[in-house]
Amino acid sequence: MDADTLISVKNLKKYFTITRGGGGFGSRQVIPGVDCVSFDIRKGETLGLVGASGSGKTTLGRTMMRLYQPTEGQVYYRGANIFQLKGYQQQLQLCRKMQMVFQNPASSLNPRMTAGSIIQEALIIHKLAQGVERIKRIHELLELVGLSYRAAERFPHEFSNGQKQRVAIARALAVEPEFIIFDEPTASLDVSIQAQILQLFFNLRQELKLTCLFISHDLDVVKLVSQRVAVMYGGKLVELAETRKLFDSPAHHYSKELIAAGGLSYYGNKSTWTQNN
Amino acid sequence: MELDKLLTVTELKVSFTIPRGEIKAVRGVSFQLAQGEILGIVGESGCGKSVIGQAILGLIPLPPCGVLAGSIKYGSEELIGMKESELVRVRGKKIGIVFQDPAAALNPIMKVGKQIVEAIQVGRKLTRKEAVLEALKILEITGINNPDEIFHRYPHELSGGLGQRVLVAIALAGQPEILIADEPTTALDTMSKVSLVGLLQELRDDINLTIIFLSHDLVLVARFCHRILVMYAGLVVEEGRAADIFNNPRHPYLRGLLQCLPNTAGENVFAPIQGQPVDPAVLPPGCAFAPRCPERMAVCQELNPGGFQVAADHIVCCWLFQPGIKGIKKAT
Repeated sequence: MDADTLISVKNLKKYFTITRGGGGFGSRQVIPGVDCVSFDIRKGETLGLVGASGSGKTTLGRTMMRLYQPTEGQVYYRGANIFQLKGYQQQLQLCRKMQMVFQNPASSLNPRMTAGSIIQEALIIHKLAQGVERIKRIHELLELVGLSYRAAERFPHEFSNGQKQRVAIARALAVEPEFIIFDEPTASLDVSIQAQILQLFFNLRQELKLTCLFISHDLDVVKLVSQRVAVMYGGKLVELAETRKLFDSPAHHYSKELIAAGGLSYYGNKSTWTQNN
Repeated sequence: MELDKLLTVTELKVSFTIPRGEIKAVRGVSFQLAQGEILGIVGESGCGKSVIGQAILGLIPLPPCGVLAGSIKYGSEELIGMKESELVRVRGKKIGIVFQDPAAALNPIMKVGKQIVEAIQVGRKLTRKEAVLEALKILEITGINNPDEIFHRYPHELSGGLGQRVLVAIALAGQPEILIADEPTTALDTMSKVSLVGLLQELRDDINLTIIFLSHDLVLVARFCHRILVMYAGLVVEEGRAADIFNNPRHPYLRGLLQCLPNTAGENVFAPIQGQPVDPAVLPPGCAFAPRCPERMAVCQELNPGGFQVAADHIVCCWLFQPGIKGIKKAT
């Protein structure tokens, strides 16, 4: 394995079994959430992951975070198989390296905990700071994501969507991870707030030298943030290429369709949008 | 000869009274809708666009609404203040609405076919058989290839795109002249967005539907609407033909918004608008955008600008465009 590679996914499968009908006579249906996916992520890189709803992007992200047990396949972090860790200590260490920012900030934050409590959970579990140090660290993290220290006392419902997302990012950063999966971080945000969160992402990525998997169905955003992009369809990885190459000359027919549909961008397609006028 | 205006909204004001204070959601919006037009109303959360849609349909409950003023004329009938018994005639039948989230707008324990039939049967005497046939026809019109199958599904068994088409079908059931689409594409992925917009365009071409499209997706609106109103904090800040709005944006807020779009030209000229969106309960005097405006002047912080014409059919509500404004001191 390359010294440069941080994460290596090999033949990963995650199938879901659904039982329809009750009384033990229902029919079983197997749905391939992730269907034999392989790829590498290099240190310092941001890999974009695109595809329609239901293509398996979120399932892939969650399986890589060990939120799901894979049906088959392996995921290596710096050469170690993350599904074969021995003991609590090893698993705890991995949690410090890999973190995730979830799709819907409103439901990924515990509504009964203040922002400060949410962020400090990680500090407590990993014994990263005690007492005054811990409070200082919480304020540092809030500042890092552009929130005032007073945010620590507030509950999620007191924040706007953009602010909630910042809290979620602060939570992920609390353990000083190397690798973060961002699952549709700007999907529920207004245009101007999305821009602020993306600006934050750029700053953090540079300052903290993060390696990222950036999942989004918004092609414009992915194009802006990623060095390479992977396209998913029906649980399979259909194409993986450098960002510029993928958008200029997609190879797979589905990638072509996706990019053509996504070509609504203001700067990209000025000639076509005047059709209606 | 001027085209007959289907809908004329004049100085619409809607405020809500809540414990925190008075929320001025809409502060004096005027526009006209011509037959066959696709009008886009663009703005971020809290700008007041959804409230306009609801006001047109009389869906705003009087408490907590404190103020509902101005005029909404459908043809020659005044909709504001209309009795509920009269509004029922208009709602759904002359003016229909499609909401944002099929999962929330559809009854989760009723098959979708039945929900469409329900909408069809409102105020009409049809046998169940006739209503079902019509429901299937409408499902086909919305581009669904297998209406018989979809008819018998529950909302949770539909993808986002299909759910949205069912909402369109329900809206079409009353055979309205005007369709208000309130953020219909927000919950959909890119390809579904394009299909839905394609469907709306077809409906406008085939059955001469007039559409008001509310969205925060600037790019989609530019591509699909004829005329656009850009809103901020309850007021229209810029209005014009789609081409003018996007080729020649004037208002600093609109320009800021366009610069926020992830730039696909490769160069990073990407720049967020400074500051936070305005709190509608605590509006500053003068122009609501002034606190965040890179080009604000002293007058902006005191007086709300009116509309200034910058080209045929292109109006901007910004003091920068008052004739003779050059040389005015900038605010510190």
